[in-house]
Amino acid sequence: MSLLSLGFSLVVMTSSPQWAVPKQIGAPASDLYNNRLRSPDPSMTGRTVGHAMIDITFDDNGLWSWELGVPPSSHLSLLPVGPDCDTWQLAAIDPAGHHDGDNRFWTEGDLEPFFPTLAHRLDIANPLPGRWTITLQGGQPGETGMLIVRDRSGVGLQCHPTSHVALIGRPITLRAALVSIDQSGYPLQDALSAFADGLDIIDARMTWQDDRKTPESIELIQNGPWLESSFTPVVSGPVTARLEIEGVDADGFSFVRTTHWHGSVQHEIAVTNIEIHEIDEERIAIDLELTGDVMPDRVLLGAEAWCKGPDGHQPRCWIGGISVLEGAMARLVLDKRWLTLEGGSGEALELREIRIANPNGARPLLPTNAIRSIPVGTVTVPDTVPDPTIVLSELLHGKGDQKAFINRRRHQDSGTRQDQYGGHNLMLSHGYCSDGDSFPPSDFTGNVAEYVNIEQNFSHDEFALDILSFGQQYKSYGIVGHSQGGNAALHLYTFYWSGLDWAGPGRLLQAMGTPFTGTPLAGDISVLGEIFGIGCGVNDDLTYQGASNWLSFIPTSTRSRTWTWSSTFEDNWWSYDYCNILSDLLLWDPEDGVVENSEADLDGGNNMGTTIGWCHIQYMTEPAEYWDTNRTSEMDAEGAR
Amino acid sequence: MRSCVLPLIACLITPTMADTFCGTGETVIPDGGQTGTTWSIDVSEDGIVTNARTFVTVTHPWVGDLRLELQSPDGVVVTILDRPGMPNGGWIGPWGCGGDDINGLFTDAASTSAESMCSQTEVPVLHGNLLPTEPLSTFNGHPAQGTWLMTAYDDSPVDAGSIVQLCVLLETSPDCNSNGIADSEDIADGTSEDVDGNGIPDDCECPGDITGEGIIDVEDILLVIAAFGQDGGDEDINGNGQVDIADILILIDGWGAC
Repeated sequence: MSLLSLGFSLVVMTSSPQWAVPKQIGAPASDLYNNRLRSPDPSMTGRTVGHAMIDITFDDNGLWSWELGVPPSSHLSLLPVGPDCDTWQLAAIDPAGHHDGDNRFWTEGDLEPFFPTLAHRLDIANPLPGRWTITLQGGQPGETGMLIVRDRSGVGLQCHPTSHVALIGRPITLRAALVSIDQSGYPLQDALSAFADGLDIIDARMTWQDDRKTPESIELIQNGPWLESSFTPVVSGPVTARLEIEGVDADGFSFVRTTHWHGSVQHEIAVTNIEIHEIDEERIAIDLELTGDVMPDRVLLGAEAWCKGPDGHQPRCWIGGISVLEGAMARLVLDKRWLTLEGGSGEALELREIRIANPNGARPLLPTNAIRSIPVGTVTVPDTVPDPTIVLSELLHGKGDQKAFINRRRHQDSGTRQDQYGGHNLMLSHGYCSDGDSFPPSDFTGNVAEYVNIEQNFSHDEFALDILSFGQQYKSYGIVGHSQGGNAALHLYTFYWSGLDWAGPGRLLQAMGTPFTGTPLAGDISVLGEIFGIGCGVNDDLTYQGASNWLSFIPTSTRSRTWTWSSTFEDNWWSYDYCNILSDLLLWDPEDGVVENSEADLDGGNNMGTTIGWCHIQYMTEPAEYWDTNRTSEMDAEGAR
Repeated sequence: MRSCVLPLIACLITPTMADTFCGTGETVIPDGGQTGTTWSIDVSEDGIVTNARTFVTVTHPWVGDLRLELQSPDGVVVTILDRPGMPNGGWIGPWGCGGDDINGLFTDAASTSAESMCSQTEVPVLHGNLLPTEPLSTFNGHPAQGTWLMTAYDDSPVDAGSIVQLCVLLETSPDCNSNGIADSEDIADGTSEDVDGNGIPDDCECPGDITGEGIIDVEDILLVIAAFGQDGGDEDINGNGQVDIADILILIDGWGAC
């Protein structure tokens, strides 16, 4: 960085408040028919797990043992994990009493980048089904850890909440069942069919804990194939439920599965008044008066606008975005030109599927069905929209007059860069909890700005606002985002005015290894991180459920400005391959060590496919994907600036 | 002089009574520099300005960089445009309007401010009638004749542009007594008399000096007496249609050198 650049940067950063101006988002009815802007079915956001994370506590003699049910399976993996796990000795005794065999393979691997230690993993081909005895020695009395168990029996445990709502004082219900799955974890049948085929849960235990950090057991109720449990949080913040089950297959062989559900408990609000008025000849405002014990300063809104037309009473558009509360009022804005474009007459205008959520994590703030609809009445719509291409930006993003707020993020660390101060750059961004290693600016030949803010656990909204703050020193930019950097870029472009809106031609948002629909590591690694006492914590936006909620506020118009790439390791038939010895047991193939390839695709985006031979970040078995100059040179050449 | 070499739209909105004067100069606007590029616009029209407008055509990929100043021949400077979109707390961002190009008429009669007109889709982004940053009426009362200077500055690095055309459209009025007020206004508000009703303040001419010698003397009064009772003519000094005693009284009142 030149001194000149630094000097100018400081002037910009300190001379004026940094405003964040939310967009008024509009989207056509097609975004409702394709379900991109509809709240996802909670049952579709539950992850299916094929592994178990079993607690380890060494006894006074430094020993630990466990009796493990192993079903018929092509493969069994055992990986004990803990701060000193490189000194532990694992023994696995099969039902016939064998301690060893030709079908066993030991691998010493590095738990980096997650944890700074070596671990020893045992892989067993075609393990003998039945009760195995697993023992560990070499630990310190009282030392804790976890044994990661993964079999390939084709049985998964699904667990999901019955609602996305997680509010103080209101019960959260989780439902779980066993299903048959394919090699990528996709269910091959529903829970009822699996139950009929003989899969059953014979033992289960669930605990939950909120921000008070005290686990509590929950009663489980079995209803056919389903286990149900409810608990009621009393404080806001992160909440985790852990389910351990022992199941049996049709032949009576048992197996274990565990899963963690991560949520974020919100303070409930209520809508106590609704005011509707015209902003100008094209737009009407729907102001919602909110009340609650703890009021947010801004909310994430969404609603469907329905009205009559020649085809009957139909959805005409979706409106939403982030609204800064003015007094206690949150504002939705409807541009009536949408109604014209979508064949609506303006008669019997009504808002449905109204959602009010926390911008961080897109978690609902209203109880289920708190508002079913808002009747607006009949409005006058323009006969025609003269030139939709001219007004398209206004229809999609609004007129820029949404109430703004001061962006408190004051990101000034510009790292190393070859940027064009006050100009037009390709901004490179790392991801969640990064150590700063990401796309090398030297692999890009054009003007490049490098966003660096290491070891942060940001929500997508916080991340986007941090990029917005950093980007104040440039007129315009496109973003190449790695991992969560891609989510943040899409969030920024969707919800706020920024330098992205002034970028020139080319690919505006380019995302590599971005978990658009989440990654199980967002929760599981944090669970392990508590044992190690390190890590950046649970990221609600990156869980399956959080990501699905977030994505359901992202319209096609901004998704279509996104190009995505994914990676995976080279999978040889003669060896057990993975990107990381640990995450391999928590993710479904193909994956890059952090993100499953299926979750790195963006519905409605431009998916550029998966490249073999690369992993998510450094310290994995293959090079970090952001070092792949074939792809980064394309990003460089095609990127908007 | 009437020279309308503007694009058709500008000519259509130019009042026929206005004269248009276009300038010449270096087209390239120095990028991010302290100095701008100045165009000279020679105006031959006499009198004072009663209404000034200016037509600007500039190509620039980021109009938020631009500042335009117009200076009258007597040194009055008016800022026409000052980095549109800056400063702001709004959607445009900290670098001003990022739209392309200007092709518009700056006029006090416009309803839309050039400072607030910004779009991501329209090119030229500043177009049509544009309200200037400072009122062009500041020039009212100042002499039109002479060299006007329009200076374009690019106050931010990176993006550069150039001037295609700069013109001033002036409505002028005579100001024979050089008091900065149009003669017609002087007469209307009583500042000047116009006893002969010819639209020229009397302090700019010498009613009664029929011979045009610069003095009212016996020759003039003899001419009036000779024409006494006749209709009209130069001897009808007050223009009431008849040479009469009132004309003689005007002579007596102004007797001597003008």
